[in-house]
Formats: sequence, structure tokens, C-alpha cells
Amino acid sequence: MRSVFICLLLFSTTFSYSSDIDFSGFATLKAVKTDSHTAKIRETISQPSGVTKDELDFSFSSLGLQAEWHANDNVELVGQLLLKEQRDDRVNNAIKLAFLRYNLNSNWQFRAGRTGLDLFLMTEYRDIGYSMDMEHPPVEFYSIIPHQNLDGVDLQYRAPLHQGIAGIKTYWGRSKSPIYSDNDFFWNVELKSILGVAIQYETLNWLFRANYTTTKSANEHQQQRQLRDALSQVPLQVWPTRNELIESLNILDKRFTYSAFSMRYDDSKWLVQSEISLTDSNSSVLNRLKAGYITLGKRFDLDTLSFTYSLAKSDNEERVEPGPLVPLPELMQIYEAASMHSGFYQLDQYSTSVTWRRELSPTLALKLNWKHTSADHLPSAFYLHHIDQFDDPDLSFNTFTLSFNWVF
Amino acid sequence: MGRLLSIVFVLISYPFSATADIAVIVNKDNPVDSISQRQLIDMYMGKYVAFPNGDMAVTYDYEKSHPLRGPFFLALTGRNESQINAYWSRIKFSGKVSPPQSFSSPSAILENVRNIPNAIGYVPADFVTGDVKVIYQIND
Repeated sequence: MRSVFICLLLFSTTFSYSSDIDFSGFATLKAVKTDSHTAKIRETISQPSGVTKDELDFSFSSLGLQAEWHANDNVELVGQLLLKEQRDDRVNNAIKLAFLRYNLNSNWQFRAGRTGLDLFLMTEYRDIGYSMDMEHPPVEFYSIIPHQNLDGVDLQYRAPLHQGIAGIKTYWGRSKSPIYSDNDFFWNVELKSILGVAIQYETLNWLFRANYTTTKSANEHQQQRQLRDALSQVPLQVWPTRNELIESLNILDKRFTYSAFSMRYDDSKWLVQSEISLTDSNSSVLNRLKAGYITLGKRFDLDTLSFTYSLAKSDNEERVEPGPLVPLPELMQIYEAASMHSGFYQLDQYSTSVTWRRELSPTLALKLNWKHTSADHLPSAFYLHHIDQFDDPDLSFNTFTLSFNWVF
Repeated sequence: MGRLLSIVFVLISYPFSATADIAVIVNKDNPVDSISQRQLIDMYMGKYVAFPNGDMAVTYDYEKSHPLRGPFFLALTGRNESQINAYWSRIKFSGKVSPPQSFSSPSAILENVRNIPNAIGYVPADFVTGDVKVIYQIND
């Protein structure tokens, strides 16, 4: 956060001393509707609210403003604010970019401050609707990992090869992002010691990319601490696996790893984009989350029709096993709470979606999307829920989205 | 409602400009005499912003509404201006690369190319003067 502050200070100073600042931005006006009576639809788990049945929701809309100052050919300062629905830590979450970029030469680039977190192909631009042919990044692939920013440094090397440009980037830093769930659950998840490497090769039409990132959890939710405290009071004779459960629920300093392979083909007429990823940790909270998607698109002059199939599946268990030997109400309450935390990332769902994109001008696009989702079970970490509907959840539902996307 | 539909119809019906001869120009003192299409694409798509000899380049472009911009990118990359803008919004707003400096007229680009040793820009072919060097030509 200190680096972000320094960058902002530098940035604000430039406003005083220079008029040579480029201003630009992007905006999305979006309306979303669903027919699910159980799930409150959202696009990422950092969204504090979701769309419910029989309402037309505009809270997915956003506005981004960017300023860039070029000190000279080598040094630039970049700042970006993203205004969208926020409930907590609003100022920090609104600052998407605040960094200094130093181009040592045409091959080497160094950045320091708040940059995008280059986890997956679209992580850094998933809020910029105009930039993509699909209406929004696949929920199964992008929704569950809320972190988009890195407070730290990165170093990139790029070089031309025979057919294309090869690049390697390594980055180090911290990140913070909110997670919302049912019953007003809010957790500002901090990741520390983020260390990652991304390798990319691209030509005009092709892009191949691989990424590996490792990080550690820097904080925990107070409910997890309270749960461990309660478990430590339970006699071992009553719950023989108590200590193992306490350890598995301890997320502090636990290591998380993200691996991904991405490809994109776009020859201006046909589009193919696909990614696969594995997210894992040495905690029971997140256990081998596998996700992937493929998008096929065809452009017809100003129109693009694309089809996306995406899926996510984790190895998390629904229940902590074994539970207490004696089913006392107090113990069962702890058991349910432990199962809820261990099963938060229990995911098994897929979606098929069709998007029609129409270029209304070179800077304005209209998108219509229909998505059909099939979930193995609800509740799901992807969504918020009507809690009173868990007895009869609809595991198959549709979502309709209409959006206008600008760049300016 | 009728007015809104009219506006939407006008937006949907906007035309693309026709291509004219376009010259890609550099400073007279630039040692580079020619550039390949791929190298030019890499420069103007922000993939690798350097001349063939490895020297860093400063790329000049036009503002989004300028009529020369669409034809230039269409001839160079086979992509219309919307696709180019979508591409640049990906890499610009994610903070990866700064886009080319944008100008409102060919004369402004000519003036800057004359004065900046490592600049590269494009102008209508009939705007080219003797104090800049043409290293690539796009013919109608």
C-alpha cells in the first residue's frame, strides 16, 4: 500500500507541473436478468450483491478513468480509477492502477506500484467490457479469484523471434480484495509474498501464454479464528480428529498456487480463445480447483457471434469427515460451521453461453448474452442466495445480459 | 422512443472510410531506410516498439475519430478500427503498454517527425515533404 501511496503522490504532483497528461477511459452500462429463484447472480465473488429473479439489475455497470503522464521516452506514470458498486474499502478498491513504468530499452520494462495481477489471460482487463468479444469473462474461470491487482514490482523482457514476439514477466508483491457471501459474510482477503512468472508468445493472430504464481494468505476471517478456538475446547475423546481439523482450518500463511495455460487465435474473421487453470493450496479451504473454458467466435462485418463453454470443479468436500463422536447440539453447530468453511470452495458447475456483439461505432459496442448454467449443488461460492430456497434449489438456470460498452 | 431508434439506426449504419495512399515516415536522420509489414504491425500494436536496428521508437497515431486511422490499420493488419480499439483497450487499460501519441492532423505528425529523431508516423502520401524519410508505403 505504501508503494501505491508513493505512486499516487508522484502522480498528483505531475498534475501540478505538467499539462502533458493523456486522459482516457472506459464505461459499461449493463442490465442483467435471471430466472433462478435460488441464486443471486453475480460475475465475481467480490461483488457485494447479486441479481435476483424478477428484477432488472444495473449494478454491474462501471466507469473507468485513466491518466498517463510521459516524463520522457522511458518513464511513464499511470493511474486508473474504476468506479463500480463497492461496499467496503471503497477508495482502495477503486484504485486499479497507480504505477511508474520504466522502459530501459525496447526489450526491458520495469514497473513499480499498483499494477494488474497477471494471473490469467483476462485478469487485468476483465472489467473493460469493450475489450472483449464475450459479454464478460467466464464466471467459472474468473469469478472465484477476486484479486486483480498487485502492489509491488514487475520486470518484463520481450524480444522479436522469427515469426512473433516472445516475452517473459516476473512479478512480486501483495494484493487485497474483498469476498462476499451469504449472511453478510465479508472478508478482505490479503495475499502476501506473491511471486509469479508469465511466459507469452504472440504473432498477429496467435497468442500462447503460461503462468505460474505462488502466494501466501496474509490474514484470516474472524469466524475462522473463532471456530478454531471453539474446536480447541472440545475434548479429544469426543472429537479424535480435532487437531487435524484445527490445522486444516488455519489459513494464515498457507500457500496458494495458480497455474494456467492460455491461447487465443484471432484472424479478424474467426476467434478461438481457451484457458485451463489449476488453483490449489495446502489448506483444506481450497483444494485443487480446476477450471477451463473455450470460446469460438465468428465476425460478420460489424457483428460478432461467439459461443463459450466453461466449467469449474474442485476437490473440496461438502462435509468435514469425521465429525464429533457425540452429536451434541453445540458440537453439531461447530461441525456445521467447520463444514461450511471447508466446503466454501466446493464447486462443480458448467455454463454455455452465446454472445452477440454489435459495433455501433469504432468506440461503442452493444452486447447481448444468454447463458445457461448447470450447478451440481447450491449454495455455491459463485453466487449469493435466497437462503430460504436451499431445500428446493434450482440447479439449472438462465441469465440474460444487455450491455453498452464504450472507450473514450 | 422514435428519436432513440433513429439515433441507433444512424450508429448502426456508420460507414468505414476508403483507403488512400499512406506513407509511413521517420526523421531524416534516422538510419533506418525500410521496415517490414510485421515490424510495423509490432510497433503500432504495442508488441515491440523498436526500429529494425533495435533503437526504441516513438510511435505517432491519430485521434480516434480521424479518417486516416481506420484505413491505415485495416490495410496494415486486416482489422477494422473497432477491433483495433478493442485490442488497444486490452493492453492500454491493463497498464501493459502506452498507446502511440495521438495527433489531430497530418501536419502535426509531420512537424513532430521532423523534430524527433526516433519518431515514426504516417501521413497521406501527398503530404510527404523532403525533410522526412518514407520507409513504408501503403497503396490504395
